[in-house]
Amino acid sequence: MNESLREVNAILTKIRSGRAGRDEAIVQLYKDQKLRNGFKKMITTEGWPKSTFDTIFTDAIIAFASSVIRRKDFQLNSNLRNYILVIGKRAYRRKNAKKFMTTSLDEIGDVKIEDDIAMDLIINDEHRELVQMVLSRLGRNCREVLTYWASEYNMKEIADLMGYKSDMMARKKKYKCFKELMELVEKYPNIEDLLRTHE
Amino acid sequence: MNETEELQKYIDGELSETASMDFEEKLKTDKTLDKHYQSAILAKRLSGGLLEMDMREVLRKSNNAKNLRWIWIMAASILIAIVGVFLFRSMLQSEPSTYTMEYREPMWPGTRGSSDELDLLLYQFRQGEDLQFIKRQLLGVEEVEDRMKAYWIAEMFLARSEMDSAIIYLPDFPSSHGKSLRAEWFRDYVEQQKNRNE
Repeated sequence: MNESLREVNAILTKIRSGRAGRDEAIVQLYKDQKLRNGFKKMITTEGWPKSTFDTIFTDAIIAFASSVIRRKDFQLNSNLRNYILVIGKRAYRRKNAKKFMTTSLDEIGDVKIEDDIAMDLIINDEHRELVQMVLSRLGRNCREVLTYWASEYNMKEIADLMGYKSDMMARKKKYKCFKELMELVEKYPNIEDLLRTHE
Repeated sequence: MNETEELQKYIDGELSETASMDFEEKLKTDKTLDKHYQSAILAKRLSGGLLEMDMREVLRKSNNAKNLRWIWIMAASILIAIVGVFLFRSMLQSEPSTYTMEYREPMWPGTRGSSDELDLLLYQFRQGEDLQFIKRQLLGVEEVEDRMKAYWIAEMFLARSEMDSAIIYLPDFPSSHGKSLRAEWFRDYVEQQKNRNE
C-alpha cells in the first residue's frame, strides 16, 4: 500500500472511530496547508469571490466526513485532497445553481464523486445559527448517539463508539435522547422550514 | 409498550409485520399520533444535522484558537515594539553621545546685496573673512540686541569647530523663542563633540 492510500485509510479510520478521532481528523484536514492552497487556487480559477473560501472549505470537509460516517462501506482509491476539492466545487455549484446553468462534470484529476455527497449538508446556511441554538439544547452525548442512529449504525456499533457497556444501554440512551429531540421539534414547529430542501 | 416507544420501534423497523400494520391503521385515525409521527420523522432528519452541527462547532473552535494565536503574536509584537521605542528614547535622552550627530548649518541671514549690517557681516564670515575681525565688527553694531550678537558669534565659532568658544558665547533662550530648539541642539552637539575628543 502506498503512502497516499495509507494516509487516506488512516483518515477514514479516524473519522469512523468516534467523536475524539473524528474531531481530530477534521481539524487535521482543516489545517492541511496543501488542501487549503488547493481550495484557494480553485476559487481563483473558477472566478468565485475570495470571501467564499471559508464557507466552501468548511462545507467540503464536513460533507466529506459526514459521508464517511454515513456510508460504512465508503472507500477512497483516489487522491484525498482532490476528492475533497471536488466535493467543495460541487457543493458550491449546487448552492448557487442559478449561476451555473451548465451541467459540466465536476472533476479534478481522476476523481469523480457520487451526486449526493455534496448534498450531505442538511442545515440551511441562512438559518444555521437558529437550528444550532435549538439543537444545542440536547447534551453532546445525546447528539452523538442520535447522529450514529440517523446514520443507520446498529445499537452494538453505537455502544462500541460511545463506550457503553451493552447495546441495551445504547438503546435506552437513544430512546431518551430521541424523546427529548421530539419534544424540541414539537416546541419549535417551524424548524422544518430552516432545513435544506435539496429539490 | 407506550406510544413513544412504539413510534420509535416503528421508525427503526423493529415492530413485527402485524404490529406495523396495526400501527399504520392507528396513524390513519389518530390525529395526535400522526402528529407525533410527523415530529419523529423530522427529528430523525434533524439527527442527521446534529453531526454537521458538531463538526462545525469543532472547526469554529479550531479557527478561533488559530485566530487567538495570531492575536497573541500581534499583541506581543506591539508590546516588543513599544518597549523597543521606549528603550531607544531613554538611551537617546540619557546618553546623547551614543550616536553621531552631524553639524547642521544655522539659518544664516543675509545675502550679498543686503543693506543690513548683521547680514553683511555674516555673509563676509561665510565668504572666509577672519572670525575675530567679524566678531569685533559685530559687537559694534548698535541695532542688534546683545543676545543675538552673542548667538551669532557662537554660531561662527561652531562653524569653525571651536567648541569651547562657541559654548561660552551661546546665550540662553526661553522655550518660546525661535532659537530655543537650535540652542538645545547646539549644546547637545558641542557636548558630543567634546566627549568624542576626550
